[in-house]
Amino acid sequence: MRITRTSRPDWGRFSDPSLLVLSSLASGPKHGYAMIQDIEQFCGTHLEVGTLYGVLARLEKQGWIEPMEVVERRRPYHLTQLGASVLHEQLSTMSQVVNTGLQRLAAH
Amino acid sequence: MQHTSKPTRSHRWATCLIGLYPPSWRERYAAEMLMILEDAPPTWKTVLNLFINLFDAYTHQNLVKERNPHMLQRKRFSELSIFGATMIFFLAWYASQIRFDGSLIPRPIWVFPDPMYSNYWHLVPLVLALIIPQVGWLLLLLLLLGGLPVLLAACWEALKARHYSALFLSLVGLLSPFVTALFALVPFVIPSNAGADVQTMLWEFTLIAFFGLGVDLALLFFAIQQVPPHRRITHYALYPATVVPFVMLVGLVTLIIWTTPFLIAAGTLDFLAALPYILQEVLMFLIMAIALFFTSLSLVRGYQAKIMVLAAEQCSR
Repeated sequence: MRITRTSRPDWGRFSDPSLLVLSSLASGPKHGYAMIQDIEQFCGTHLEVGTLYGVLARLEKQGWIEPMEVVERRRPYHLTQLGASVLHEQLSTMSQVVNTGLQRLAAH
Repeated sequence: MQHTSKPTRSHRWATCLIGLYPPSWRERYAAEMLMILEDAPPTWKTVLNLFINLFDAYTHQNLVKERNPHMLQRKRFSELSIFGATMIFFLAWYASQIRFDGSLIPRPIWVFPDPMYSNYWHLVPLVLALIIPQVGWLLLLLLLLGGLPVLLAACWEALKARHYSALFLSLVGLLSPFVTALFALVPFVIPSNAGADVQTMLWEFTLIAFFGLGVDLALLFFAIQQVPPHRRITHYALYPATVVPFVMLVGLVTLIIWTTPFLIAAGTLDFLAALPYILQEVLMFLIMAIALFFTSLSLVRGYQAKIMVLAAEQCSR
C-alpha cells in the first residue's frame, strides 16, 4: 500500500519500506541488520541493504529517525518523537482502511 | 530466507557496488552497509538491489550532502582563518618596512635589491637581508596557491547552487583587497599631502589598510560559509596552508633582527622624534606575532578536522 498524504512526502517505492522501518524502530533502537531481521519476522518481507539505506537516508533527513553512537562497528537508529507521531498517524489511517475493508467484505 | 547463490562472488560484487556510491553516501553509510553484508551474506538479488539504488543515491545526493560532515566545513574555516591571518601578517609586514626616499612613495625593503639601503647592510648579516624579500613574495604566493582556490571554489559552489547573494559577496570579497590597497595608498599620492608629516601618513595608511582588510575578511567569511565546501579544494588548500606558519616565523624573526639596529640607532639619535616610529614597529611586530599564533592554532584545528574526515572515509572503504 502506498502511503501518500498531502502533508507527507511521496517517496514512491520507498513508502512501504519506510513504514516497515518505522514500525520496526517503534519497539526500540536497532541497527540495520536487526531491522532487516525484525521486519522479515513480523511481516515476511525481506528488505535488501540498498533499499534499507535509501529509506534510512530519507527518514533521517525528515527527522523521523536519528542515528546513535556506533556500538561494535554497528550504528543503531532510534525513532524520534516526530517519527513516532507520523507512524501513529499512518497506522491509524491504515487501521481505518483495514476495518472498513473487512466490514464491507463481511457484508458482501 | 535461504541464500542459494555463492556468497563470495556476490559479496565481492556487492562490495564493489558500494564503492561506487557517491562520496558523501559512502562517507555516511558505507561502513554500515558493509557490516550488513558480513552479517547476512549477499545474494545476486542483493547485488541487483544495490545496483538499482546506486542510481537513486546519485539522483538524490541532497539526502546526504546537506548533512555533510561538519569536519569538512571546520577544515575550510581553519584554512580561511589561516589565509585571512596571512593577509593581516602581510599587511603588517609591509607597514613595518615602509621607508621613504624623499618622494613620499612608500618603498618597502623587501623590494630587493635596493642599493639605497646599502649603507645599512653592515649592521646585519647579509643572509637576513636576502631572506626578508623572499618572505614577502612567498606569502603572496601562498595566498595565491591556497587562499585564492578556496575563494574561487566558493564562487563556483555559489553559482552552481544559484546562491546569488553568496556569489556576489564572494566576488566583492575577491576584489575588495585591491580596492582597500588603492584607498590606503591615497594619502601618499594626493598632491595636498605633499608637505605632510611622513609619520602621520604612515599611520593613515596603516589604519585605512587594516580597517579595510577587516571589512574584506568579514565579507569573505560571511559569504563563503553560506555555501558548502568543495571537497577536493578544501583537502588541497591545507597543503599550502601548512607552509604559512613556517614562513611567518622566519619572516618575523629576521625582520625583528633586521629592524632592531635601526630602532636603536633612531632612538639614540632623537628618542622623542623616533618614538612614534618605534611604537608603530612594535605594534606591527605584535600584530605579526598574533597572526602567527592564530595561524598555528588554525593549522592544528585544520589537521584535526582532516584526520576526522579521513577516518570517516576509511570506514567507507
